[in-house]
Amino acid sequence: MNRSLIALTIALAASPALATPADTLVYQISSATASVEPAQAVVTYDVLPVMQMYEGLYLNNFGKYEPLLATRFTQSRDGKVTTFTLRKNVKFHDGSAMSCADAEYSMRRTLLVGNETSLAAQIRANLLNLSGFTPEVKKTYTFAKLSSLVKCNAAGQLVLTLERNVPSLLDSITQTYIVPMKALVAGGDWSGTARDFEAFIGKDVSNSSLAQKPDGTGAYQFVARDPSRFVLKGFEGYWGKAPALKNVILQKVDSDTARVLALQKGDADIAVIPDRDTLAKLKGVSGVKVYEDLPTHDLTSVVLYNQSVKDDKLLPAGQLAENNMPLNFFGDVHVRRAFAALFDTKTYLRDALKGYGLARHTTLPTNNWAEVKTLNPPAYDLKTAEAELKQAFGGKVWTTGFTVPISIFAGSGVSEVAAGIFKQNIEALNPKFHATISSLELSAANASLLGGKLAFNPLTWGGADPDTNLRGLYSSGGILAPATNINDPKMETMLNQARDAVGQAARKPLYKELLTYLNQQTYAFPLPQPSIFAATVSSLKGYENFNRTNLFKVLSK
Amino acid sequence: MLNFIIRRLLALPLIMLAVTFLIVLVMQLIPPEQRAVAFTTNLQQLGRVQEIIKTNHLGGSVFEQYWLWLGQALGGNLGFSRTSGQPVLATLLARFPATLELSLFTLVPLVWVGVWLGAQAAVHRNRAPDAVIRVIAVLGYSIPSFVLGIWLLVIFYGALDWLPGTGNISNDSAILLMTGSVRRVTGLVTIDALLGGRLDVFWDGLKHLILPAFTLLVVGIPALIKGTRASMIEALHSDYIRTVRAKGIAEKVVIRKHARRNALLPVATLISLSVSGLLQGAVLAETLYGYPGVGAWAAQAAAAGDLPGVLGFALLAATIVAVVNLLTDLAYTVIDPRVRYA
Repeated sequence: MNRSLIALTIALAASPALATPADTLVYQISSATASVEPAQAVVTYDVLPVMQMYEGLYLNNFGKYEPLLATRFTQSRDGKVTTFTLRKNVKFHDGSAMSCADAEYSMRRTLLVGNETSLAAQIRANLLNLSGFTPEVKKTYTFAKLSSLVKCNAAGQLVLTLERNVPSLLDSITQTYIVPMKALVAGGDWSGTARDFEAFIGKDVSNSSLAQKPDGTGAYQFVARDPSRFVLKGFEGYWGKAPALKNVILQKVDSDTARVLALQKGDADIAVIPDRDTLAKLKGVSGVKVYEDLPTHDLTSVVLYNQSVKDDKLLPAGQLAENNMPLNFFGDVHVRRAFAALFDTKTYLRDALKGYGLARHTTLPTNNWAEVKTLNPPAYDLKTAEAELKQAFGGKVWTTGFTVPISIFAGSGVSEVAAGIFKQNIEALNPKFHATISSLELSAANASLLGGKLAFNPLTWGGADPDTNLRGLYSSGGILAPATNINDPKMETMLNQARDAVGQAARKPLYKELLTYLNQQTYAFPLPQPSIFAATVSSLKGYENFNRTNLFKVLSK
Repeated sequence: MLNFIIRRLLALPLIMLAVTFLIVLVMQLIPPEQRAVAFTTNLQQLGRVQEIIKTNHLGGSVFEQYWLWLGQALGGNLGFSRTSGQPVLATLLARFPATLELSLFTLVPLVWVGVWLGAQAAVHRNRAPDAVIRVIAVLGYSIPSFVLGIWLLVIFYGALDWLPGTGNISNDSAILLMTGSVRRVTGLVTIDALLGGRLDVFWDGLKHLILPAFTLLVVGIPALIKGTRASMIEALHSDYIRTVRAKGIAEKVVIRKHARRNALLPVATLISLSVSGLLQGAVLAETLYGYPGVGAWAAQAAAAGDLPGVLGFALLAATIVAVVNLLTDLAYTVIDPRVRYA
């Protein structure tokens, strides 16, 4: 219904586009910006304005780390001590000059504040291996300890001393935004001393003074906001090149139809497009430019198996029956390989991704530096699937049969297509093979995933460093461990070796070895990576670059 | 009368307690893990679920959770809304004026047109005007409001370009309000623009009200037409009207002075129900037209499991409904002097 109305919209909206002013960007988004506290923001439309107003020491430019508020860094041989040389003549939006004390305070604050779902919590987990501020952790996590981790040296450089080599350090550095210490302290934030240290441990700072009155070093500064708009203007004191677009209005518009209309009429320069069908209809419309095949950034789509499902309705480990499956069904490598070979990637690419997806080599993101392009994931091949299933569980699976439960996320066309492909091919292989599909609401599905109740399911995972990605997906200590129940000491050793080696050159061959092993074990297999699509007014330049950096300063008209 | 008002006002906190407790109770039916997952925004945060449960006391009993919220609320803190990124009270204060403005601009034509059409249908019962008005009512009932909203958007914004498509004000006017160039006094765009002498901003705000107000009008008017019609038909067939007519008084006077006034009592009830209906309709109209009121926010909060947000909206809605009901009861005494409250 909605799609046909959008088609009608596009057909009817014949009036010529009246463009927004040449120095202004109107970006219509589908959900409002909530908190712009840089230590908290993790949601797309909170992060987007944060990235324009604040800067880290480095920028992640599509997997390549570029200096931002630091000009360079050096690392000790063991990777534990990192020294950042800070850029000079950088000003905050309040006019004050950035100093090493600000960088030190910002880093320490990030390692201190922020609730369990905050960006700061993710950074702490990455840098300090802190899974949360439990009472036990709080006992040892002191101001003295934090001060020893982050400090300025006599040369005005920021020195980070960690307990171990953290390969994804720069990834966290790019997300640690530098804030003005004096302004924050004056606004009632953490004093930067031991005095109020405990009061700020893990504190939810979504409503901080910084969230109310943002103050960073970014190319754009905060002007005003109302419930549906967030307004920015170019910062005149910016250390870098002044942005071409002087004003930015992020405008929340819930209705897909209204956003599409606004783009066509020139009321918006960029509008979030709901789906590829709508995008296809916008193709060729006067004044509108469509982007069909933009690359994704640090994301990987995979099908992940659970080797020990926690579901009372399933059979005990090792038992088989045509109308059920055992808890450890995917604990057998032959079953895993068979299911990977049962997945028709071409159909998935055509039906779920409308033909726009990147072929994969491993389960790493396609833009990751450790990706091994000579490797190939299991290919769709029913004969291979048959051969593997004839070996599974000592050959009993083929004669006994099974029924595998497939859960899909309600409203997710992609997961529906994936489930359909599995069901069709499983049931075509052997009349004793069955699949049941059930639909779960997203939060229920995620709760089931975390509770280890899902047998296998497609998901999208992220992370800039290969260790972040692979550890999260496969390690028994990773975030998805309850959903996968993988227990592979050999893989863990390989993961740790690759993590602990210092420098990309030393790590790359270790990851090649690890990824080769993972391909053999097939704990998961990669899905074609969906391309990003977008639509803008045709006068807007630099969108491809914006897709890589998320910075408005690269856009112009 | 004063006793009656005091009693009703004293009942208001009890209504609020009951409404908010019921919401917490219903939320409790969802397992803590699932409620905690609603706090997360990516898979990386799934590992934090137990921590989220602990921090937000999601594992506690319904009484424990309600008591925690109530303790805060009694201290004037309605909690923090994850969906707005602001305290609930600040969110309500920022958004309610837009909903109030939309409701006021809808309610006045809704009551005026609805009562007039209903009365006309009754007076011309079983004749052409009655048939036309009944068709209007049936259409209003039949067209799904979200479909109507999209049609209006496509025609009047997309094709004809007569009216704006989204929000309660254009970006240019919004910046004038946000930066204080037009001072916010009431929070109602049209009123503040008039107070600030900015007719351009007033006109801009008014244009933005037309489509959402019309959508709410179409949704709300059938009940009022049908209610007024039925009430008016009953009044027109009553003995006292027959007596008045027998006295040879002109039909216009019979309708205006005698029938309509007596028919208004049930209509007043319907109008009070329309106010509640407007609040519900605001959720849809605000979402559809990107109108920055409490309705659109409440819908987001409910979808995201933002309990403080949902409870804040429930408090506001319960207060409005209770106050409107009280005013309706008081209006009865004006419409019908026989009605007395002890």
